Amino acid sequence: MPKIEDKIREIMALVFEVPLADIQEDSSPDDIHAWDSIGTINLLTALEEEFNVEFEEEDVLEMLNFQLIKIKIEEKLEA
Amino acid sequence: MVVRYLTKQYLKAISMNYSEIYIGQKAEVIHQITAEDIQKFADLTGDDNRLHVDASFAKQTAFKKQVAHGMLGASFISTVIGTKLPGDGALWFSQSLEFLLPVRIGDTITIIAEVLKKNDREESIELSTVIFNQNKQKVTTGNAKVKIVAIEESQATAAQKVSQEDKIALVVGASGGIGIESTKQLLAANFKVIAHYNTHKEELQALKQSLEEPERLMLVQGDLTLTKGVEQLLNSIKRYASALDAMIYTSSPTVPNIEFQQLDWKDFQKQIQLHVEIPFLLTQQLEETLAARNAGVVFITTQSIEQPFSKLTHYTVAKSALLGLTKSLAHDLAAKKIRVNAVSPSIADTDLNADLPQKVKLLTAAKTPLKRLAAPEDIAQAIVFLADSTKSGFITGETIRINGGQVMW
Repeated sequence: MPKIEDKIREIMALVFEVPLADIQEDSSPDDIHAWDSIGTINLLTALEEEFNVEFEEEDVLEMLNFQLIKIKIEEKLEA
Repeated sequence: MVVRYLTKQYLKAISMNYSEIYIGQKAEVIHQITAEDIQKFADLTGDDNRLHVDASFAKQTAFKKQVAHGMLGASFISTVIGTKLPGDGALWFSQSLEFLLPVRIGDTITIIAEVLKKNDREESIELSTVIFNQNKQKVTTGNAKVKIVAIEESQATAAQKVSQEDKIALVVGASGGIGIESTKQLLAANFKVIAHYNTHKEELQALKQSLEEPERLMLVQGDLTLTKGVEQLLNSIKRYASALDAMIYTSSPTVPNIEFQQLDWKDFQKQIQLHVEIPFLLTQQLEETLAARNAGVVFITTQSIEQPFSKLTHYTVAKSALLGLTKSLAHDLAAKKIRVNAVSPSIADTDLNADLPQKVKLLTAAKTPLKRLAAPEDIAQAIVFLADSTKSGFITGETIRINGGQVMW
């Protein structure tokens, strides 16, 4: 099974239509053009489907970059 | 909390001239003997007599418990003579000793030297040297003879104290992340630095050894949670410098996150002691020393004063009081041309925050306009600017925020 972070990276590249290599540890809306409010909704929906989790509003406030998204999903999967 | 009262005698220089010494003058040192002391003494001298180092051996003797080396206790006579009476420049040329009672691990010994006689012709003194244990029993007694090496005032200034041209800074808490970086930058800015630490000497020692002129960095130890430790620090400062150009205070206790209902007033006291009481005491005791050079004093506050961090009420309250101290002192000490300022960092990547969850650090960085945590270098640069009166001579009562844009108004 691929590691969680590889999956997240893959999904982000797909949703934001950028090469996989562009998704870095600190990637955030600051450096990915398509990561705007609509991009965020698309990303969250894709992640919820892939990992079979549900994000609350307060979760979303903490999902500010790649690393933080990874931590949030790990927390959700552990719960 | 007990507010300590330090006697004004600490304002006096420690080394004395022959003429200043009087018959009946006393000085003392207090020390608690530990198992580690005995081991270190055995390692140093090679005297590993099992009566001293082996508890099970000692049990089979009349003493029942390990006994400290007689000369270990007696060594502290050297401390009294060499650092207090008469202090720097003492030439100890004779000592008689009688060991009356054993000293054991855990005993607190008080070593008292008292001037018995002055020999004007050779400028030497005779002292009684007596060691008591915590039960006021005399454990060691003897007499010392000490010559006071005359130092000409001009030479004294050059050899022992920093000359007028040298800028000298005191960094309290210099072994912490911000402290050590400030020390490095002050050295780079041509300051001599008296660096205080409590338990972690290693990094400072390494820094000292890496310097071209190691004497530019003077290391002094002291546990500032104890009156004794504060006195020790003040004494050391007096021995190294007659005036200070800057004082930077970075000492901090550990800062645990505590839920409001779990908070005890003791948690506040711990923070208030090191963030308010000790900065107050040091500034008060060093006022004249700082005034002599129109010094810059710098304290460290926190972003939490303006935008409180969770579960840190005890810390935030103490730091807010430190901000009050900063502004009040800036006002009151302006007459003496002492400037008092603060830097207010956001969460920094230092040992003090080592226990902070990774997620909190990442979130903080992500929410910061400049997208990272404060580094010790960022904070130290602002500290050195505020400390240096040639750079910030008209700034006082000010706080520089170092938070990557998290709070700005």
